[in-house]
Amino acid sequence: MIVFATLVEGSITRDAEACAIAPIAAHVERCTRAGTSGATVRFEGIVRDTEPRGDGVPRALKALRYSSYDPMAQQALDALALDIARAHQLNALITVHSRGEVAVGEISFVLTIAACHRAQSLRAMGEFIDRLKQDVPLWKQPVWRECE
Amino acid sequence: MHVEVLVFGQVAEIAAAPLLHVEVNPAGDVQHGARVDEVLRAMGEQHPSIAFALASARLAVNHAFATSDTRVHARDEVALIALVGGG
Repeated sequence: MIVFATLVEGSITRDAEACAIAPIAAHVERCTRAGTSGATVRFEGIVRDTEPRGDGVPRALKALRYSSYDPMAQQALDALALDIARAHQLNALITVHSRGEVAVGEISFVLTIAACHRAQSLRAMGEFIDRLKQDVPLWKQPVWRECE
Repeated sequence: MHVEVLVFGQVAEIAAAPLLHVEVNPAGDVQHGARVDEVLRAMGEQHPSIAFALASARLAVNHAFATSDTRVHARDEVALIALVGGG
């Protein structure tokens, strides 16, 4: 079972993601070729161009600024990843989350899950994201476009 | 007993500070610290502007989520984990 979770500065570009997961890249490659996973699902969280303000009316956004309580954020992310991977008997759970500013249209969160079966991987994905929003001390603050 | 509580995100924005000072009068011997629910109650009373966030908030004590009966001591690192929003 591969379980890996990390926080990176700024948006998650292909290069940033490759760099972040470099420590386990060879292991992932071996597991992929082993043929034990019948499903791999990938979720990308992308910063939308609007966000509701206090009055509920959507306003134009320039970016989201993510902050974290360290080192608890990393610890909580690790614990959550391990818990979900064990509970759903996953072959792999790899996640990368941003810290700092992420502009509209850019990726702030990536979750990749590999499992024997599709239903298992999809359930694990939904549960991980729900619990991320409860158990990991990460906050996002809007950077409004009109403040430029 | 004096407790310092780290705050983040929207709560820090509303409080206009990254750290809140809270005076707690714990039931029982002060040497045993204050219960988490006593700290949260005192926070609501002394910092009413952030009281709205406390109902669904949890305290972390020394980087681990605490339960309502966990004891908080003056030298512990205490953080209010409220309104998180990763993903």
